[in-house]
Amino acid sequence: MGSPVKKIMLCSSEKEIFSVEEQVMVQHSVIINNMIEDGSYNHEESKIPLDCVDSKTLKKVIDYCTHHTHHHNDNQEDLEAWDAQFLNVDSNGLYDLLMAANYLEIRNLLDLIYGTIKNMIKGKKIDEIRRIFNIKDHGFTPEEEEQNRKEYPHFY
Amino acid sequence: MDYQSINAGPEKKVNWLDLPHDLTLMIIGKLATFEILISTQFVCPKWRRICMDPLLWRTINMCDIGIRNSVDYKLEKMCRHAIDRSCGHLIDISIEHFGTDDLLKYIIDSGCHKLRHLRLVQCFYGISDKGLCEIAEKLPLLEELDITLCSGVSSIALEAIGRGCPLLKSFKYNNNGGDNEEALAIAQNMSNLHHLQLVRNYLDNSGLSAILDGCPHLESLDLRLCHDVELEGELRTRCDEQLKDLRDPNAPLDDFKFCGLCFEIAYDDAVFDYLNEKRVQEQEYSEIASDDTIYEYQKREAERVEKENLDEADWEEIYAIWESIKNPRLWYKRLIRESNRGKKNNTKSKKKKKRGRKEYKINNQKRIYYEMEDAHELLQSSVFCF
Repeated sequence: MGSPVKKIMLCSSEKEIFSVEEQVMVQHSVIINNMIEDGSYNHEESKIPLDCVDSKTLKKVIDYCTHHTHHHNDNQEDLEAWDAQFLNVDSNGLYDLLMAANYLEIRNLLDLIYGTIKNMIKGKKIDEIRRIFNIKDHGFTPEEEEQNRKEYPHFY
Repeated sequence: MDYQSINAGPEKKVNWLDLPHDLTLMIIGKLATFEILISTQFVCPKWRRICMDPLLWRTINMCDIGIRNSVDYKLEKMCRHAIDRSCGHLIDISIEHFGTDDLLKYIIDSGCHKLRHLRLVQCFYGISDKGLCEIAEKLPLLEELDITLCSGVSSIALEAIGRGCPLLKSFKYNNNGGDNEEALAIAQNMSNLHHLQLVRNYLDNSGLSAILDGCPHLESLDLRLCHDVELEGELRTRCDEQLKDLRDPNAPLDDFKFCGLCFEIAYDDAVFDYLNEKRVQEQEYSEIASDDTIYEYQKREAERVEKENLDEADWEEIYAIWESIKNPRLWYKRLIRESNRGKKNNTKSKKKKKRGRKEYKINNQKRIYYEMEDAHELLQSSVFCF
């Protein structure tokens, strides 16, 4: 039926190749959109190297873009439920996704991640936040930290 | 694939402090002012530096903090602190419950003349005509003003705002009990309005006609619960022609949360309930503590405080004690620590001379902990401190 769907190749940091519909990535990723538009991507031989995105994260990012391309007409509730399920990952996974979304400039995904992080911080005490984000060596001098704890004990 | 399991092994832990600066800034920028002040800025120096950036404080949002937090924290003091941090760059500020004339004056005195969005929601009688008149002429760039449920504001303030803020595009004057007088003040002084919300206002058809005459740029008008307006015939046609978005008096109130009749009473009740809840909790825990009563514990604590020459009004100390009382585990830990300390140096007998002063202090604390017959008194001497 009609012309075959155009595909592009994405290459993860582990050199694994992912083949994705061009339209899916163009629609979501500003950087890939620019590459296609200015002709720097050759459909016969180019692969887009994404050295700072591992396979696991890249697969998730592609999942996100694909779902939001094909289901953008779904009702808002369903989409939000899908997003919540999609971002049901630990803080490591979230970090990787954030870096990938930033690298590929996927604006809706970035906003979604910022919103999730905001909810992770909301209503938490300082020690909890440090635990959630795995901040072991926070970098305050012991004196500063002690003074803060003394001054605002109920924040910790 | 072997390499994959190596890279994405469970022991790989990322360090969020390695996150690029601009991303961290974006994350912190999304947080509410309250969160930044009580937690985010103390997490690490890197976040703290970002939290000190005046540009982060262009927007101050202190809405939806919740009744519990508004009892437990001194929100007005926090808000002033946030205004200080903006160094005059403040553009957008939202305040719920705790807005006062003094706070408005503080915004102006801090040099925040670039303010474009000012939201003062549910401030009841904290905001008066006088306060608004004083700031109106100092905010020439103001584009949006929301004074929903600020019952002390009348047409006098609206006239001053209309004169002082020529760029005002969006105005919300909901549930304030205004009538045709306010409608006329809007019509005669706010000719540049694009959006106007007048939920539960007592204006009638003449007031509405005046607004349609006086505000030619008006696009949206919200007249929900304005039951004195009868949208029929010529007036209806005129509204439909002039306005893109009209909410008539009977339209559903789903997206408007301030439609209750007695909001102030409801708020006071909620505060009162919360204070009661706290008191009950304390009483429960005081029953748990068996032989070593809280009274004795406090007495010792007061002695210790005195011994260390701490300031009489050291609320943080008091808070720590209180916190431990609320939490039985902490409370027992503290008791054990205290009893060990008591064994080491028996200080009780030495301090007989100062009994009088001690009694005073104990009574003072007791007043805060237990004798909360008047809940509002506790609110005044808020135990938590920012």
